Amino acid sequence: MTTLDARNITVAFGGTPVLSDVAITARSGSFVGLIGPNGSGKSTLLRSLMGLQRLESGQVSIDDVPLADLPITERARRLSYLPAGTEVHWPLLAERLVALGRIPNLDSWRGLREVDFEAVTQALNAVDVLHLRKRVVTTLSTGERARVLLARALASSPRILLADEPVAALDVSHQLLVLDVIRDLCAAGMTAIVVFHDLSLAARYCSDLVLLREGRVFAAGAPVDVLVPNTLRDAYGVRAALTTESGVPQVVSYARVTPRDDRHGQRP
Amino acid sequence: MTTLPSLARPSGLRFSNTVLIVGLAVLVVLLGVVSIAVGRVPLAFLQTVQQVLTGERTTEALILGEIRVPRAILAALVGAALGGAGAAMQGLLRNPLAEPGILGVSASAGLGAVVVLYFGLTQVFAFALPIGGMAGALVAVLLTFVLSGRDASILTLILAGVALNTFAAALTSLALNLAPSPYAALEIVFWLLGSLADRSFDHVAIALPLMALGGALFIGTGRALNALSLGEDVARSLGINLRLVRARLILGTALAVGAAVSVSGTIGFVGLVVPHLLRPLVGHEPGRLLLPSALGGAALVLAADIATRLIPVEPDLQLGVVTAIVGAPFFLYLLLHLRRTMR
Repeated sequence: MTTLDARNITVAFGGTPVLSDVAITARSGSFVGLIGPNGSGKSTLLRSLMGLQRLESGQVSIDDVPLADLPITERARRLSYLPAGTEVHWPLLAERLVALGRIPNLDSWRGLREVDFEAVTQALNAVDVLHLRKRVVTTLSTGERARVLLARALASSPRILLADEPVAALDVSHQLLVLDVIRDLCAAGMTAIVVFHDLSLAARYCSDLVLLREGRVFAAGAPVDVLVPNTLRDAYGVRAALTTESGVPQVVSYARVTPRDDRHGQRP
Repeated sequence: MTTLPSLARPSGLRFSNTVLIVGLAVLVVLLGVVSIAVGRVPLAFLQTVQQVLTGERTTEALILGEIRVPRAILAALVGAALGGAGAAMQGLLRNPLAEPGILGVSASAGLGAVVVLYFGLTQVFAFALPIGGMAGALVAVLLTFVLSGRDASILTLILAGVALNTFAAALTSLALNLAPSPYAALEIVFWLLGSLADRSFDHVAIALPLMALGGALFIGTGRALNALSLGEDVARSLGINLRLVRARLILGTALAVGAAVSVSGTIGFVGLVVPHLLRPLVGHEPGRLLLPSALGGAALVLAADIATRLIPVEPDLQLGVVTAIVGAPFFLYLLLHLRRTMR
């Protein structure tokens, strides 16, 4: 059972605090959604969990082993990190790009082997880009490229997936496809920590939500407990509510909360 | 259960890397032979080779063994250093416009040699010139590390390189400005143009170990360069020790390019054009480009050096002039051709 545990994470950029005393725990099989308004520290928290961010204080551990004590190659075998955006610096073939995800699994001086080709093929197929494998990634659409990059992150068969807005650029159908894939992997024991902006998708797929606001954990728990009108109003400044449409959870936002609405404490 | 189609091996490119590498190596050897056979003094080639091998000390044998052979070896070494370092810098900086001198190594090595020429130290000590060049290159790499700090971003590295390049160029201009005689200024200018004329096995002995050390530092960095295609954060998340890779590539470039500039002067465009030319043949993967680029650089400099001897003008064309005159328009052509795939 892989457990990721972060305590007291504090990060500052040039004296400006970005994360203050953030704690987050994710057990094997959980699908954790990181939500919060722009600038609340979601991406920085994800980078901190990967060990890419210099921490003012705090510690990230995996199965009670501090990340700092794990060699960088060991970290790479356990965790997979997918940043936001779809920048690729060279016009690589899609399958060669996805094969980069196998680097943590390779021996020092060996190239790709049969098992690696198999993993790459499966990752491409899982997010429906197998037909694009011979295409040059820089010629793909943003959404296609986003899926190829997700396939790269999945190719190493990570125990923990850290993904920053993996469905932001995707069409509706592929959003559901990608999130189904991540949920299925979680059901098989993977841990996913994923940044969401779409609260409805977060409500629908995540087992747990962590809502950040101004660098602090503002609310955490099951989606029904986090996505309540008061919390959404205080975190995002909107009147919104979690409803259910044909058995599917939906977060409907009605309006921005103006200061006057706030004073009168209006409810949707 | 559907069976997944398995991944075709080297990615469906027309050439596998092995074919490309062997092909380039054969080209280098052929050009090396032509380089030895061609020159101002006509030689009965096979007969002279026989004389060299049997140790006969005829004039022809001396020209071949003591002048043309080291010249061909140096051309191949200098080209390999420039081509390999160019590919390494383009991969590290993830920028197709990077060239071996981008971090200031070439200009600083050139400055080191210019200082030696300026103070007339070549008269005091025959190998002051290459030693001055190497000293310049190593000072440049030390300054790069100091200026850019331990966790240098790519931008900091490039800006530090701009500063070093500018400063080295300024001091070189100062040396020309204050040159004691027009002849001394001319000597500096001609040296800066780059040439392999009148070099000996002593130059090979100076350059070869430094270049070999530089090349050795590149070994095993290919995977990291490939991972860097996805940015520094992802490369680190894939288990790449970026600080180590960066240090190895920068130091390796300083040693190889510093040695090249020290024995030949500054030879432009090789390190820029060769990686561009070969990149599509290795599927644009920066890690697979290192060795082919070194071999391609060797072939290009050998060919350019042959051209300096075949084009009958007085005084002789300098090697750096030929590479720049051929390289710059060719580079423009490549840019027009590649801009569709390079965004």
